[in-house]
Amino acid sequence: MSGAAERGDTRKRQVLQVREVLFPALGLVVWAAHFGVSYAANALACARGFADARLLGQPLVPAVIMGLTAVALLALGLVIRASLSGLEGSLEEGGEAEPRFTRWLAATAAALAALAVLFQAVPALSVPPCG
Amino acid sequence: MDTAAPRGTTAEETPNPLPRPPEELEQLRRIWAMPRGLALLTEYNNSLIGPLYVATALLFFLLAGVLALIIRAQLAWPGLTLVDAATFNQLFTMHGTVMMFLFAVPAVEAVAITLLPAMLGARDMPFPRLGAYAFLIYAIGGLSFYSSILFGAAPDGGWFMYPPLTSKENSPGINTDMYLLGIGFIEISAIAGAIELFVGIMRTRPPGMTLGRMPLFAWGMLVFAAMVIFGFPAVIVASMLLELERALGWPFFLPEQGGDPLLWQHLFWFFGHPEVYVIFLPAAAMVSMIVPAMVGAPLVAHSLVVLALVGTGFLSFGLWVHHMYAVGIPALSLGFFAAAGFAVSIPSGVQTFAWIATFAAGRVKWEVPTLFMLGFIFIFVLGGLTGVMVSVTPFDWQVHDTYFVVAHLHYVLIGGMVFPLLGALYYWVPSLGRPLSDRLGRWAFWLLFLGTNLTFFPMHVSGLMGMPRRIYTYPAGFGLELWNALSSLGAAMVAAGAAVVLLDVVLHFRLGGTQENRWRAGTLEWVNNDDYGTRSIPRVRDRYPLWAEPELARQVEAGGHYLPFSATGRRETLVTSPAEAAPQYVAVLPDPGWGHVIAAIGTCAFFYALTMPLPIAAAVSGLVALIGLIWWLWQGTDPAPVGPHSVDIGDGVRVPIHATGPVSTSWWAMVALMLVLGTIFACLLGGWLFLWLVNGDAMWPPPGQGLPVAGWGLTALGLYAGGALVMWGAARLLGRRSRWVVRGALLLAAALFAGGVGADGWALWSGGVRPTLHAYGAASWAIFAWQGALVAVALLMAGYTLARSLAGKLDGARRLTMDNTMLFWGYTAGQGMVGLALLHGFPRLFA
Amino acid sequence: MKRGAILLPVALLLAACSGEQTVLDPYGGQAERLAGLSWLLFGGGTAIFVLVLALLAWALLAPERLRRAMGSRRFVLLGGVAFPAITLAALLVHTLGVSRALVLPREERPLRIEVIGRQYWWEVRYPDMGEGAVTANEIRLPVGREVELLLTSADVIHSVWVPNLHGKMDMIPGKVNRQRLRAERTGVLRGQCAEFCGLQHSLMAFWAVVQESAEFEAWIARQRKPVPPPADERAVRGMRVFGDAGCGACHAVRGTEWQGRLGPDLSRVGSRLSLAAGALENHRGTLAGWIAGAQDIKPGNSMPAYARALEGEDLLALAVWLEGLR
Repeated sequence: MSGAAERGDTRKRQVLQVREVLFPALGLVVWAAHFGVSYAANALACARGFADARLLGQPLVPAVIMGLTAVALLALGLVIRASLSGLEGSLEEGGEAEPRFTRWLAATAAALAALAVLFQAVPALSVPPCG
Repeated sequence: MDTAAPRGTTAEETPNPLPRPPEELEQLRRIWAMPRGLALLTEYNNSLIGPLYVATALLFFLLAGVLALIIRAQLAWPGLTLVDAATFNQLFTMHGTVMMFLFAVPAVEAVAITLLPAMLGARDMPFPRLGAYAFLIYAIGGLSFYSSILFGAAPDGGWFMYPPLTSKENSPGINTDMYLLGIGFIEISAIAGAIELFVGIMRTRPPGMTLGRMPLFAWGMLVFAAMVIFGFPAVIVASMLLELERALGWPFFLPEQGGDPLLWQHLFWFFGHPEVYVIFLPAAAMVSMIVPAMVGAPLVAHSLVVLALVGTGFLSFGLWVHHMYAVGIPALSLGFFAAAGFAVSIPSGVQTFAWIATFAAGRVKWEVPTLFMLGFIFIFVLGGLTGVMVSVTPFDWQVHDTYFVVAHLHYVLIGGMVFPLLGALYYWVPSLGRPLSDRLGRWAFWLLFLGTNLTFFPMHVSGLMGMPRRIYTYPAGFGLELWNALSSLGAAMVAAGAAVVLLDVVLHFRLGGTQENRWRAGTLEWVNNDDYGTRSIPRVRDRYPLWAEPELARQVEAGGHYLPFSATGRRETLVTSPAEAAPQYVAVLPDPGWGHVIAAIGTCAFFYALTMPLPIAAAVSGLVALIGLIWWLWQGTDPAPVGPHSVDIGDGVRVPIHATGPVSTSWWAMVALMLVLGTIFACLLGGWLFLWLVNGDAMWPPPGQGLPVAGWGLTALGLYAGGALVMWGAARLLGRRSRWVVRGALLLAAALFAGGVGADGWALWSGGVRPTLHAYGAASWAIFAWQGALVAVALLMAGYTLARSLAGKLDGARRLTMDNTMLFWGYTAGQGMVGLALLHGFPRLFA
Repeated sequence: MKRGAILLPVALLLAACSGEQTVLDPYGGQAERLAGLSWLLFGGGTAIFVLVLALLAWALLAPERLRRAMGSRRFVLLGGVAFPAITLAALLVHTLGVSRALVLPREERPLRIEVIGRQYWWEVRYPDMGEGAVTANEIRLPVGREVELLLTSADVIHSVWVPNLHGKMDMIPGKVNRQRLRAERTGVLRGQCAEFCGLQHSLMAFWAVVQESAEFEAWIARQRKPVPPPADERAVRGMRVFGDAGCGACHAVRGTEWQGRLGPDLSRVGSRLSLAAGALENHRGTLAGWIAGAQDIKPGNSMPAYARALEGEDLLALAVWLEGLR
């Protein structure tokens, strides 16, 4: 391989490696986005006074949060599916070798994130937005 | 790399043949020998800096503890007058501030600097002078900060310093400024440490130590580093804004001028809640290493515990409003935070049950470290349960700001951090030198365990009985006497326990000498090491390398594993890939020097001069710091490639000795720095948007102020983009075109950036935006000021790069300086463009 | 308000369960819900704590055969994931239910009470009860009626907290926070500032007096009326001293020319349960002591010390007149 091609190949491998390492964080980033947008949406609605509006017949803020939750859970489902593909062996243990460990971590972190997203959605079902 | 090789295949199949020639060890010793006399100050070796760092942190623990003893003496009975109100307010503020900023975070960082290189088979940290600098500013700055209480100039607004109490009008003295500036630069120390730890853990592990095999303490510090990078900027921004308000009258938190006291609380607690997990997670990770050794069995559910650390790290960023449940935020918003608070308890549950399971799986040795582990579980679980309680919003409405919370926080911090730390002390000291005393250790444990419970359990009761926090006395006849008296008695016991530990350390602790694997532990830090780290860099095939390969320690110590020599005659360490730990290159480390020491002294002097305020002294010190920094960078950063092009480190693995581009640790450090800067910027943007939200569109801008002029904004946009593009071009042309083309490009880029920042500022000024009249102007100018500061740094970097080029120290192969400058310029331009989009675009589109 | 008596250890432990400033002796619906929640949390917390310690003890001390099942990932998943997830989910639902009950208002027209926090005293106004329904350092409320507290601050952040009635709510300058509460039994309760507000945060308390409706109405009516003329010569002298010393610049007295709002309204100061925001008892002795030495009792508060300006007979006369403003 020529010098430049070798460098390019190494660079590509490095980028892939970095992506592999960041992959476990993806599910929790989805959680953070769900959290941030829900909080901002509620704060905006209460501060600007349109919390009483309706979306498709439902109170606005809870409807928006349910929508965000559905999107987040879908995204997390995709992350889990992508990371579990080709993963053999017990799901309780990440193992020592790569790429199994980072994929396992990505899947389980996304599962934890999904649980947290569900927890966060529950308040929208019972607590008034601005009370 | 064969990371799944079967164990115990052949007896003596080491990467490098044994025995090694004796000159190799001689060479290593010579290269890593520490300078003598005063020049020892220039040494950065983690074997020196680490223990000094730990000792300094423990010193601050004692210093802050003394303040607590005075507090408990004052509160032992109603109506006592040992100290007056003003002094008392300084006492509790300093107790909290010193414990949180000068003890807890530095202590876990210190343990990491001491142990991680050995645990990861590295000869030292990747940027060891940065670590030494971080230690020096912490030690010098911290001691100066503490001494403020001797002059009555210590901060007195509580460790969270809420405005408007801490605004200039209500706190006119320098006490508040002492905090804002004093703590401000200690944050620099923490962030520098975090960047170094992040790169060290991701890139300097031994070959074969995949992420799945990495010890849990490394995972704990990795999560620590990431949390510091994303969490600490918020308090830096809060401090900067309050100091600007106090010094220059830019209103951020004053309601009469469009500000909001809650902006401080959001920023502070966005930092403040992750901060406590920053303190706890490394300690929990220490426990995850000590327990397996004390029972002789691997940690049960190792991967799940890794998940727990990472998960807690993320989820803890969703809890900050817990500290603000009573400020009048909408009920649903509070609900999100309660839900997140519950969610974060689940990973903690995983860790607790993993420790219990590990105890069940092995055979416990009833030694002093074990006692501290059990004490930790008892106290931390109790604190964690009250933590779930205060997460329950309505319950917190009763106990917020009372002694119930004081009880909770001390249970989780003492249980969750101090006990593991002391256990770690008794556990790891034998790997560094002479072990501590078993008898004194047991005495210390029981005094501390019983004392902690006696001090803090009654506080749950006094809180429920109506005793708020931060009061210097309480009325008689409400039943509070008994509980306070018990707490004060307990405090005396804790003091006795701490004194026993101090006595033990003074009598018995000695660095160096024979190191024994006293607990028969399985991880790499128990391999004998010296100033040069381990004799060779181990090949790792298991989570517990010393248990899986009983011959490993002997082989490594004989030099049989990787890189048992120095390829260049300089200090070196091995850099590996982030996930698989495949060897990538040998990094040459710098020689000891004075640059970082001068920079540290200058930095401390600069911040204290600003506090007084003594502007001329500040300018001079700032200059000294800058000179130190340039000297530091000039010597030993971006060295010329020396020696052979590549080297066989063992097993036929051949790696280069010089690296540039994304594989270099330098690139990774710059990226980590950009993440910090980006987070600071995001906090400034968030603050601006928050103030817009609370002010309403009619006041954004308020009457009398205008919008920044769009024409100048677009000009600035173009100039920023152009400057970054030219800089990127210079980087690409380096080594391919003549030096003068590159130097010309540097100058052109500098001109463009200077023009850009000028246009940016002029757009604001000529549009009628003023910083002192209203929060709109203050927030807008704060964003510009930050941009201006970064542009100034960018220009300095360009100038430095030009100087390197003129000195013949920059070319196609020797280009780390150019690459870092290019990255920084790219970031600064991007930040500038986003800032312009917000200031120019948002009000026009939305408001 | 001294409580005498030596109490038995058991009674001591239960001390938290009764008193004028305690979470666990509710005087109203909100505090009752919170107390119930507290007991649930304490009970649950204790049970879980004991369980965890028992498991730990088992892991350490039981014979190896019996410990082996515990040393597994399955155990960690059950105890560390399943158990907390289920328990916390249930607790979350319950918690949100309590929050909802506390924030949803019940009555359309509560009795509004404005409380303005200042360093280091409380300004209390009744906007629904007509002109002049103003007092300081004391909140009176009728039993069985829903009250809405409107809370703000004139300087730094303070916080109102009467644990027997409800949780705390912060008083933030530039913002008005609202809290609904309803007392169900009469009594005298103590409240305290619960957000560090400076030098004398420790001595910023107040009495919350829950009265029968009729008594409350009578009290309000009296607050609104102009003060009666001084009863005797000393009181006349005292009133004159009040004017000469310039007290009216800060303190208002209904029915006179003095309308200052920088300090507490003194219209019916004689009838209050305490002075100096809960720091002192209230009679001519403490009145005189406060006027003369406010900076010794509460250093750093806004009341200057008049020890040198007012002496002897003048000071006593002033105290007598003030004491007579009931």
